[in-house]
Amino acid sequence: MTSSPARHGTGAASAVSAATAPYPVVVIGADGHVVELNDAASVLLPTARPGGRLRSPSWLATAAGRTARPVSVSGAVGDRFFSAHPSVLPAGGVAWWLVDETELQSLLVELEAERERTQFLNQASTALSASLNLDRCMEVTARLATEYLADAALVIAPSATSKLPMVVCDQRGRISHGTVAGPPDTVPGLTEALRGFPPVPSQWIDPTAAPRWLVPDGFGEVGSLAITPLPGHGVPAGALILLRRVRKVAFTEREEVMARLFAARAGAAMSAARLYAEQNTISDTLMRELLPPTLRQVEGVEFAGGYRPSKDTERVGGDFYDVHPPGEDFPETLAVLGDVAGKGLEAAVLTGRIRNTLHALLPMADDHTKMLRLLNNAMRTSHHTRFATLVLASVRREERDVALRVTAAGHPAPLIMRSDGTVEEADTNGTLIGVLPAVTARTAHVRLAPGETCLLFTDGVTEAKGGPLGDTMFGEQRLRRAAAECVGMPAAAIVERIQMITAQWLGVGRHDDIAVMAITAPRGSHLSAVDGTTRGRYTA
Amino acid sequence: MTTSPDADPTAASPSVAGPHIVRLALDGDLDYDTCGELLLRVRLALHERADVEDLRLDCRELGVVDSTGLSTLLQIHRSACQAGIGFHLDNIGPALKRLLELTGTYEHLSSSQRTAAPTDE
Repeated sequence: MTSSPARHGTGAASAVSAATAPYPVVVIGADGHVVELNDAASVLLPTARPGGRLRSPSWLATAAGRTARPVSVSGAVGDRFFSAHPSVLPAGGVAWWLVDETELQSLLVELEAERERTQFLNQASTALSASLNLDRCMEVTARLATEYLADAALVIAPSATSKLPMVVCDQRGRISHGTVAGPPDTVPGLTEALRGFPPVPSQWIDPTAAPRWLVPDGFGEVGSLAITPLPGHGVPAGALILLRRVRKVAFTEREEVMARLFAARAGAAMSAARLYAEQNTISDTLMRELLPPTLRQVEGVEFAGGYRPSKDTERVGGDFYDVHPPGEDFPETLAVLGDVAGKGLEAAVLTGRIRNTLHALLPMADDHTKMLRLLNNAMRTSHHTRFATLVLASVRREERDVALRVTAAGHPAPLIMRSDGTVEEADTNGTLIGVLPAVTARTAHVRLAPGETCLLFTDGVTEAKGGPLGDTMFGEQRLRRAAAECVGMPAAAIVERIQMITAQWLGVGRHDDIAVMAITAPRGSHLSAVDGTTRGRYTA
Repeated sequence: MTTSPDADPTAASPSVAGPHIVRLALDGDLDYDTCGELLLRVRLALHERADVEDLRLDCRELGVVDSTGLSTLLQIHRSACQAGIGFHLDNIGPALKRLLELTGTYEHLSSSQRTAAPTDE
C-alpha cells in the first residue's frame, strides 16, 4: 500500500526531494525519531525537531509511532485540518506527506449541516402541509421549533378577539394549548410580529423583560429569547417565540436563515389553515341562511319541499325555495322555487340576494309580472350575466279548493297533477331574471280540487343524467309519468317519491342541484263534507 | 356556414369569413367546464382585428348547453353589443331553441340591438 515519491532514489535523494516538496513533509526514522522535516513542515509543526520525538499533533504522533505498515491518517493541526500520507523509504523510516484539507473538510461539514437543514425543512413542510387545521399547524410549528431551533417554543396566532390563541411546546416536548394571559404589548416586539406588517426581523429580547406566562413551568432560567414573525399569504399568521437556556445573543447567520425559512413555511401553513377555517365559517354561515326552510301546512294548503344539493358544490347550491305565509300587505301565500346559474359561493350569494329581494317585494305579489320586473331591475348588474330562473305561486284557499296564480320566469312550467290521473303543464312562461333589460311573463290561473297538486321543480330533475346506460336525461316525460303515479298522495309523499325516483335514475352519477316543491289542496279534513257536487275522489 | 375543422370536442375554432365577420363554430357541450374557454376564444377572435362588425356563432355541432353556458352566451351578446358588434347564433338546434324559448332569451339573443349594459349605482 505504500509507495515513495522517490522510489528509485536513495534515502538522501528522498530527503532532498522532501525538502523541496510543496507539501509539509516529516521523515520519521525507524527508531521513531524525526529524521528530517522541510520548511513547510517546520512552520506547521513548530515543536518538531530533527532528532527529537514527534509529539504534536497527537494523531500524527500515534500513527508515526506505529512502525509496521503505516496508513494515511487525518486530523486537526491548530485551526486547520490535514491528512498525512505515509511513504515507506527504502532506507528505512517513513516520510509523512501532509496535505491541507481544511477547505474540503469545512465543505463536508457544511454539506452535512446543509443536508440536515434540508431534511428538517422538508420534514417541516411535510408535517405542516398535512393539516388544514390551525390548531394542528400551531402544534407542529411549536414542536418542530423545539426540536431544532430552541429548548422551548410558543406559537401565538392573531385573533379578532382580545384572546390570542397560543400553543406551547415545553422543554420536554409536551404540547399545551391556551390563550395569551397578558396583553401582547408587555412582550417587546410581539405586537409588531403579530401585526405582520411592516415585516420585522427576529428580535432577541432581554429574557428578564419577559412576562411569566411566556416561560413554561419548570423551564428554569431563560438564557435567551427570540420573537420571530410568521409571514402568511398577505395576512399575518402569528408569531413564534423561541426560548433557549444557553445565553446566545443571536442566531448564527445560518441558523438565522434556517429560522426564517422555517418561519416562512410555518406561516404559510398557518395562514392557509386560517383562510380555510374562515372560508368554512363563511360557507357555514351562508349555508345556515340559505338552507331551504322546512315546509308545512300554511293557511289550509299543504306545502312540501325537497332539496338535494349537487355533490360538486356540496352544501351551498344554486337551487332554492321559500314559502311566505300571508302578511298584512299581502293576503296570499307566496311560494317561490328557483335556480341560479353557476355554482358555489357566487351562486349562493346571488341566491341569497334573490330570496331577500323577493321577501321585500311580497306586497307586490298581486301582480307577478310587476314583481318580476322589480326583481329583474334589482338583480341586473354590469359585472356579470349570471341569472336566475324561478316560479312564483300565489296560493289562496277558496272553500275546499286552492286557487293559484303561477308564473314561470325562464323556468320549466309547474306540473298540475289532477285527481283523474292526468298531468298537465301550467300555461305560463316568462323571461329569466337578472340579465335582460326588460322582462315579460304570463301568469297562469290554476284551481286545485282537494287531493290535486301543483308540482314545482328545477331542471336538476329533468336533466338528471342516468338510466340503464348512465347517459340519458330523466326528461319531462318520465317526470310526468312519475307524477301521474303520485296523484292523490299528500304533498310530502309526492316530494319524497319524486326525489326517490330521480335518485334511482341518477344512480351514482354526477348531478346538479335538485329541488322539488309540491303545493297540494288537502282532502283530509273535509272528508265528511262530500256533497256529490265537488270534483275528485275522497278515498286515499 | 363554418364548421369546426378539428375534432376537439370543446373547441371553438375561429375563421374569418369576410372582411368584417368573425365566425366561430361551437363544438361539444357548453357548460360550467367549457364556458371559460369559449369566452376566451371569442375575446381573442374579436381582438384580432379592430374592424369586426359581426360575430356569428355556429351552433350546428353544439351539444348540451347548461345554465352557465346560457349565461356565457348572454355575456358574449352583451359584450358584442357594447362594442357595436352584431351578434348572431346560426343553426340553432331544437334543444338550444327550447332552452332559449323557455328562458325567454330567444328574441334577445336573435336581436343584436346595441344596448348598453346596466350601470351600477
